Amino acid sequence: MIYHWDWSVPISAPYLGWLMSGLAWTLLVAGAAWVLAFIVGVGIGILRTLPNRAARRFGALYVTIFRSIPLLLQLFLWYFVVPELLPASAAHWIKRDLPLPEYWTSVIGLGLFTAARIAEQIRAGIEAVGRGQSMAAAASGLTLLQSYRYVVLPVAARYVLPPLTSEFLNVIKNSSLALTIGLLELTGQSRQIEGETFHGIEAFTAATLIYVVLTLAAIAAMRALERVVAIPGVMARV
Amino acid sequence: MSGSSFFCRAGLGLLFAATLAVPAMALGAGESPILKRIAERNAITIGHREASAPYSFISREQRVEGYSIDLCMKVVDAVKARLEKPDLEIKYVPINTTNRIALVANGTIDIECGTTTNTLARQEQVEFSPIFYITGTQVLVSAANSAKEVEDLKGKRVAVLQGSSNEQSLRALNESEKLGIELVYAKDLGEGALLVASDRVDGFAADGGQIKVFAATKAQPKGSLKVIGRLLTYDPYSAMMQRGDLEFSLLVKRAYAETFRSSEAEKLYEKWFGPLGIAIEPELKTAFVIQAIPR
Repeated sequence: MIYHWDWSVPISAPYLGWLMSGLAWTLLVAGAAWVLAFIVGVGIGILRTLPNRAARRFGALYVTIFRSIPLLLQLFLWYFVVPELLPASAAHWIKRDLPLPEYWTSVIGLGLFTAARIAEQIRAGIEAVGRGQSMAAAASGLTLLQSYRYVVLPVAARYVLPPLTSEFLNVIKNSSLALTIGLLELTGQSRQIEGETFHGIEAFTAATLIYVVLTLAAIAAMRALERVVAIPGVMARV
Repeated sequence: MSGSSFFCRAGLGLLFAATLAVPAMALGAGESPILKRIAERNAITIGHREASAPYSFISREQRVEGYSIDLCMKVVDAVKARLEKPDLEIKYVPINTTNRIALVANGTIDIECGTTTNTLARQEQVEFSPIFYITGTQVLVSAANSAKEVEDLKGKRVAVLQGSSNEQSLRALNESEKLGIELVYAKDLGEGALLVASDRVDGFAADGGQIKVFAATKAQPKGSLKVIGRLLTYDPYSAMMQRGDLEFSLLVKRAYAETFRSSEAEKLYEKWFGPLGIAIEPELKTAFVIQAIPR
């Protein structure tokens, strides 16, 4: 390998600033997409467990659609295709007047994709609570809403924390796909440094380390959350 | 004593003359690490672009073709002759603007035949072939746009290829002239043009040659895109290879010089750009003449 290593590139001006701005965009995209994914995902996940058949069908349809299309393709569809299907004035607003179109498109694309995955985990969590619990809740006179609110969901939420951690990490990492529709997040900025300096390996290494630190921090935070909310006797905890 | 020393010297002189005569006709890998590894693998690896027609692209028949590729074939012929391996295998590795430098530097690719601009900063990392194409940054806009120069796009949205020399120049111009142009990042030529066609941006700044080809061949409907503006940058294309291998670099220079001299290069230009209605520019013709270094 004949390569002039220069490890000062990722930590020198202006490239360090570029990486930091990339990190900020990664956090902004991943954060907003996570909020969207969590809200939609929990909603769809609950729909999939309700006695109402239409609600279950709708949930299944959502999961099937968003889980079957590659995320990269979904981002392209949201960015290039969806505006063309809208009335001209709405399309023009999205393309020209909406501030930060690349950002919001990434948040929606990534958020709705991740929601499908979260929904499945929520459903699995609710089903893991077992029918006995909800039957007991019904027998003690709780309405469906009350049984979800006071019996099923509190336990299910704790069941799904470990897989949700994985999903949280996925959102952080998948946010790098936003660069394909032009958002200069962390990976995008390291490509930018590579284009400018031809020192891509150093820039990508720096980005890799930042991703590792980011995901390790997320894992530590979720583990702490698991400990704080743990109920003794549930999930093999004593 | 003096007589024998004379013969000794004469003999040494003859030997010296003989060794001098040899290098021009040198065969085999010699001291070249690149030629050595080509001989060892019995294959030469070419890095190519997937969608940079007509320079370097995968054709409908799934073959790697193009103007840059045809020129590289002259290098392949020279390597075959040098190593006396007429049946040397040619391997193709697709590359993009992000991985091309790393793949050349780590020796995955013996020669990169794409649309890489030769710059001094890049020469710190890789060796470049002679210049085989000259272009500069221009702007692709929709045919209805009345802008004549990039300055007319003040305050508008303009797409650029991420990591390209065009992007760097536009960013610099934006800062120095306070144009307030909002840069939008595109992944490849097709996407940049799509951004213009779908009215997401007002212009797409890229290598003039490439966007002219795009406007001439791929605009839907025909004639809906046009290229405007002076050349904002000087972008000479060269093939990349690993740095520090003087012998391989000389072989490449020789192959290109022969191609430029024999007017073969002009014929190849005509073959790829003629059908698109793009005539050879006088600068490039001059570059061919100047780089046809004597044997």
